[in-house]
Amino acid sequence: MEWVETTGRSVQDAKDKALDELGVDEADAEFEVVAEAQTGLFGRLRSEARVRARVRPTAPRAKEERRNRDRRRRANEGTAAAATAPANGAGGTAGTADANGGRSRGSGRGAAASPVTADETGSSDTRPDDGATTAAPRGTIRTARAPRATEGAAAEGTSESLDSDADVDSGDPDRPAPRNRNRNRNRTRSSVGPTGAETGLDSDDDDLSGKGPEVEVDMARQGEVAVDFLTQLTAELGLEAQVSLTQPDDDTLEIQLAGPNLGILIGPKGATLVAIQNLTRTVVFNETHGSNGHIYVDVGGYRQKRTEALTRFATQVAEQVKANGNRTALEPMSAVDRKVVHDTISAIEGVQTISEGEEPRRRVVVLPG
Amino acid sequence: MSDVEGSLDGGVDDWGDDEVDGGRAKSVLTFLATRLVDDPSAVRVETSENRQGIKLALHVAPDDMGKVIGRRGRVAQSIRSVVRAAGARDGIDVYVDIVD
Repeated sequence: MEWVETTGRSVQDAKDKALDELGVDEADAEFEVVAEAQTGLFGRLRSEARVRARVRPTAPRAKEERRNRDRRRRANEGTAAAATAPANGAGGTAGTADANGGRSRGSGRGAAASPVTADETGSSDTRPDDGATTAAPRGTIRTARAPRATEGAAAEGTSESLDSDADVDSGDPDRPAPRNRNRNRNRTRSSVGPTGAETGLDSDDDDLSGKGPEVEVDMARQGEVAVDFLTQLTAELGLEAQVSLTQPDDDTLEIQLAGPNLGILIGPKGATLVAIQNLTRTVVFNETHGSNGHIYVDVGGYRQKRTEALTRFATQVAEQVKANGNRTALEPMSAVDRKVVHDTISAIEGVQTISEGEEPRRRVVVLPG
Repeated sequence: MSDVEGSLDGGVDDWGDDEVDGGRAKSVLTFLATRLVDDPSAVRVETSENRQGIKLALHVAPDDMGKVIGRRGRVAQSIRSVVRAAGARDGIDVYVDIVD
């Protein structure tokens, strides 16, 4: 469906123009506010309002756009779908979901939710699933990938993790998505809250890390390499930084850099920090030949502050969209930031999010629904 | 190791031409490249200046091109942004050119 983009002195103005152009009634059109009008000094118009519109598709909006971003929550959702016990042990119950002929997605996510047992869960689940391949192509593929196909790629996966949001975004057109899915998701959300949030940023590549024992063997070495690399890098940059390593769980390494004048390591919107993190992951992978865990680099608690700020911002936008019913496009963000926004908003009833555009200008669009 | 590389190359480039000094950006680039490739001895960074700022031309062994570029240029992109930050610290505009 073709989008038209119009501008006007106000949003309403721009909408009217768009409707003229499309030649349809407001009820048959779909809008997205790209930019509100900005008034300059003395009420002069500094920039016009910009609106995108298209004729509302006659068929309901494709469901695949309503995606479930948070792997942990999805795991629970799998459980809920199989109508078994309350959503708690994601890994175990997800297996049940499978045995019941439930969606294989459940198993994929189950594996993700409990990395240690992922190998067994994953592969044993995959076989019975094969029969259901046609019913749930995406889930099956994902499941199959976790334990086997990506042994090699799993390591590379670290460098890919930031992109994995984009992977999810780009979709699973065949995914069955009954409407009440979202409800389940929201209900189970609270029970998963903390864990979900904890892995929130990069939980997309959880399924790549489901390699069991090797994970622990490598972690110490990986930490060493990462710390060494970052220590040298900051020294090359002429910065005094304390590099400290923590391991919040079996397959996650967190490296904190602290010291004066480290703002330079963060860069605009954290871009430099993301770059440093990518390079760290790449180097760790190159030098240990098997990085399965997640490696996060943070400078002076920046990441957490950013996440909090984004969460507040996203909530605010979501409330706005709920109130006025306008599709609203956010400014382009990094994959990590988009993930935070998606996760935040998907927990709010009455709004949903999609990602649009190509990197590096990919952005989240919040829509009512 | 990276320091040696950096200063050797830097020496050759910089003596004749004082203006072109990659500064920290150059040593950071050398360090990153050395750390990423299989053959660190082939890493070379040449500095030159033009309208767009200071150009750091990175040379690596042909087999290592993939290592410094990465899938979809991800590694190259990261290198560029870190090196740019390093340049910013010295107050200079640098950009990285990966030469094959």
